[in-house]
Amino acid sequence: MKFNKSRGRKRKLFASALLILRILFNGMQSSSTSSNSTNFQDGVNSKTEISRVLEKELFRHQEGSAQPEQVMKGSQTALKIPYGGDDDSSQPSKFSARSKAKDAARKDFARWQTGKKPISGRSGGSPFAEAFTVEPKFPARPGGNGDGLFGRFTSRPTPDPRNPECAGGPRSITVLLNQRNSDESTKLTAYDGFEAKLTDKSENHLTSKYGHKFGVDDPLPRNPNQKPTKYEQTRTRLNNENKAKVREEIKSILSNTNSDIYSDVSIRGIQSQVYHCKDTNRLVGIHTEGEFAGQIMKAQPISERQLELLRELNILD
Amino acid sequence: MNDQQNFFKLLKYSNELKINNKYLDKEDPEAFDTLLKFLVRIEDNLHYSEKQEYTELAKDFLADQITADDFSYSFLAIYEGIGEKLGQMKIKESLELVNFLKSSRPELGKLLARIYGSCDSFSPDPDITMADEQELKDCAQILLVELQKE
Repeated sequence: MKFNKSRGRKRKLFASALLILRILFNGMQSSSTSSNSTNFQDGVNSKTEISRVLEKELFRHQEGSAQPEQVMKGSQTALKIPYGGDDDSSQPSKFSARSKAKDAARKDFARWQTGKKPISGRSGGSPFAEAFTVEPKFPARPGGNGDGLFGRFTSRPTPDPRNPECAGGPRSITVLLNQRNSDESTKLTAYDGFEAKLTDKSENHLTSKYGHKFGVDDPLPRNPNQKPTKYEQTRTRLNNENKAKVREEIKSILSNTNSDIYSDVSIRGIQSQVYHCKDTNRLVGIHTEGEFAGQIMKAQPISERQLELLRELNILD
Repeated sequence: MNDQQNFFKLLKYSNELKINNKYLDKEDPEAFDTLLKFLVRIEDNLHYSEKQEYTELAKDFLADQITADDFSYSFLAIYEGIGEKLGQMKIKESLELVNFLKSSRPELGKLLARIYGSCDSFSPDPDITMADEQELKDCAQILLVELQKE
């Protein structure tokens, strides 16, 4: 009996100690990704998964047109790709193809931002992360920019009020994104007096995708996971110098009096104005309606087929 | 005059005009349209000759071996690479062009131009993207179907 009593007391003591330890380290456990938090994470993930499935089902139900359509033409089957311009733009809907695209991209973007891969890795990191790393024109803190005395701006963790000495502790970290003001844009005027805006976002997109076609020879290193192919993809590094070069090339297309002007062109269903430079066989496309009205949305080389479609049907996909 | 002779005559004329900062479409619009038709036919056939590249790319993407972003960049690389090849051949007035002057696959050419637009419009940045991953998957699927046609 005596033996059993002391054993029971020991058990109680052990349980109390465990309880205290659990309370003490609860915060750390919930913020870490250790195996102890797996059950909690599983619960969250399953909830997220359910809501995603529901969202997907609802979307499918409401927008049949977002799926590839098969149109029967006599004995031939023509497949139609739905795109942003296909939906009724007069009725903005969260289920429209464009909203869907934005939503999906936003999710991807958020996933990437909170992802496991290092964002700062210049080589060996995700090519997307490298392509979309922008150099701040204006430092967030004095002396915090790349040219400053203290080097490149780095995020500083928020001090933990409960443990001010341990600012870098795992409890709370505020990540300050190294981003440039997205409202920044350049106004360009074509030789016919037409004005267009080149936003920072659009400039990033066009430089990354077509920089190498606009005379910039500064490609990002090849993704190690990428298969070697005959025609390798090129992503131009985003920095002020490369963007300025692309901007100049866009300006020269717009100001070249030999550039052909195509008005009322449908770019994916959106009314646009296109300038085609015959010397370089490149074009610049400006939306004249919709969300990006007045903005330069295209700057690319043009193929023979694209030129034919542009000349004959006023279409540029 | 057969197609080959006509094509090379027009190509030569266009190149000569370019040297003098003149353009065939301004000097002789009808001749320009004829030359463009030949060039479109050649380009379509050049694309078809690289069907293996397109097929592998589409398959990799549909099997989730590459991301939508990678698909968009790789597609643009193939499409533009072929365009560059044609550009060089045009400048040199290469006799090899004759091999691609046969009747083409206009549906493939139009489809590729459409997919190019989708890849161009795709961006991981939600504020600028105009095409989503599903649209690119649809493109890859349709491209595979089109390339499998004989």
